[in-house]
Amino acid sequence: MELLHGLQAICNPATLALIVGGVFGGLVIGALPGLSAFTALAIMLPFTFGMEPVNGISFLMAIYVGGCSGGLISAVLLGIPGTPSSIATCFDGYPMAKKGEAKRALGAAVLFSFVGGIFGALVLSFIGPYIAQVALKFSPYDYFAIILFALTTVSALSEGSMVKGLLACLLGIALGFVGTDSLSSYYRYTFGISKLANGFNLVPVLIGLFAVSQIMISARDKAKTSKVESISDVKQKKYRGFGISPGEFLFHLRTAIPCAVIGLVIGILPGLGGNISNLMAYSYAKKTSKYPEKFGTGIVDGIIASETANNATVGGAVIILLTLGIPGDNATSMIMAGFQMHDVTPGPLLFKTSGALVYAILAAFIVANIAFFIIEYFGLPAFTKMLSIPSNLLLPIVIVCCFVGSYCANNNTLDIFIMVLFGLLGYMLKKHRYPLAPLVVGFILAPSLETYLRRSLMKTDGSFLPIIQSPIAAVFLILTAAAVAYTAYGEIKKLKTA
Amino acid sequence: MKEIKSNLWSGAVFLAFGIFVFAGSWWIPATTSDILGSRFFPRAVAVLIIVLSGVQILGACSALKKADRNEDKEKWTLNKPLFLTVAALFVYYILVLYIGFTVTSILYLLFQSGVLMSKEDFSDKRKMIIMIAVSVLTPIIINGIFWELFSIALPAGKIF
Repeated sequence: MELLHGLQAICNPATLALIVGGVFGGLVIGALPGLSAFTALAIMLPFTFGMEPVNGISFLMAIYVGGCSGGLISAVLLGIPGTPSSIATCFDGYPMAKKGEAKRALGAAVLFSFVGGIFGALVLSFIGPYIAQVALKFSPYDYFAIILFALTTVSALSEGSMVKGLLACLLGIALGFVGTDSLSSYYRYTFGISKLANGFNLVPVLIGLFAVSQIMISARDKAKTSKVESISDVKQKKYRGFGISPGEFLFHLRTAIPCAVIGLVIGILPGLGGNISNLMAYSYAKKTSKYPEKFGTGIVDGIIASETANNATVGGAVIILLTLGIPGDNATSMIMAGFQMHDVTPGPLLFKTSGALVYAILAAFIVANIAFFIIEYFGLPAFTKMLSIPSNLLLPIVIVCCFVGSYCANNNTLDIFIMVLFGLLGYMLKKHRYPLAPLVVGFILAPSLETYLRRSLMKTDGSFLPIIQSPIAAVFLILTAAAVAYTAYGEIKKLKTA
Repeated sequence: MKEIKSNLWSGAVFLAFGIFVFAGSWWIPATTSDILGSRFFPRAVAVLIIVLSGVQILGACSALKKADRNEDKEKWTLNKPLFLTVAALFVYYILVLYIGFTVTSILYLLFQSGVLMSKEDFSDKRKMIIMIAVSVLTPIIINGIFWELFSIALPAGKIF
């Protein structure tokens, strides 16, 4: 009932126009490699200053929804994730585009992004506060075990050998050490460079690993074939609607629903967010699939897993923000700044003190998801047109956009240099067949993993036993061991048959 | 053979990196309790890297013994387009500090598109005009959008 009142509050031309404009702006910015939902929110936040709270926060929510979904466009068409939350979308999206199935890949991504988004929005509206209360009961032990589980599953189940996956993950964790230690405030591995005090920024790291390494590979291959392999040479197949039949849609719901739950749960846990959920859901879908060997070769299942999860994460992150006042990721911290700008304090009391505003925001969140679905559906033919641009023109333009994205993340020119260095690292790792996803996950989760482990050890006076004795932590530690054992067994079996 | 060698060399690089991370931890100030201090986690990760890279090297060595040593011996040659692309990226960073985003980006786009173009494309006048127009207009448009619309100043360079 309250949700209907909220819907009523936003059903005026100005608010609806702001929601549609916000989604569109977020989509465009999210589609550019290096510019994420966070960047879109940072750019647009000052514009909400003079707006009514309902309009301003609805606008920010719409940008968040658009920004998180925009990343799928460049992930499918260029093989470069527009945002960190669309890394796994590249794994199958780009191979599908190379096979001439770009429209089907984009259609599936849009459709299941909508499914994930609406799932998150509905859970947020009806049982959000109860879920948040449960999440609040998690101890540092439990968080440590969950993060360890996320790291090992992504590493162990990634493409190639498990040892390479784990090494890539550890490399990511080690790179995460650079900067100030959050607990003791000591500098680590900064080598006297003051600009490294905050560590490596995620944006240049990510676009270096994925986008810059891509142009290096294109240049390397040009020497072999004297021509850059261009997706514009591939004849794209024509599909009706989203490129997925109703029967296929229903069939793939079997993958989408668990992935939406994974996305939502990860969204609720502070510090994880869409960056992780898409990779976790992809690993889950691959592990439970009847044809895991086809993952990475260009099948819709991988796209469905990734896109459903990252959009459901948005709902999860908003749950924890509204009910507990904890920003789940960078982007939600910008929305929190928007709340503060309008003198609204998110937290357990928000539903009591500003109930009408909360339900208006929830309604805006649902409308934003519908707006994104409509805009992307009608935009599909225009997006696929992008493929007709030859790679020798498109790739350098993407790199220039990446330079801008890296610089704008912190207004720091050193980030451009870091981006190039990580591009070189990404190229070397790809050349030697090390998966990049575990490296990124390790890099993102390293600070949380270390903080929760050390907090746990502080609580237990250095003893590991109480960590194992905590029921939630114990379950995740057993699952971690099982994931490693399962993969190791598979690899030994493969070696014996070889 | 090529893959085995790649595993061997990359394993050695990871081993060296693990030793570097472990050695670097001595420069982190010590706290009263080592297990709760800033050194503990880097050291734990370094040990894991060393162990796993050891596994990788041992696996590659045993595969190397079984493999045919005469198989695909490739002569190393410099990959010019790759070398030029990497060099262009580093030069871009240096130039952007001095002559700013717009001019550097125009030069970079012209150079990089040239590196990636095939020989036939150079004799095609239409393609050349498109390449030059795109290279000149893209940075100007990007700069305009960021400055006019978002009020974000991209690097102008020390010279200007």
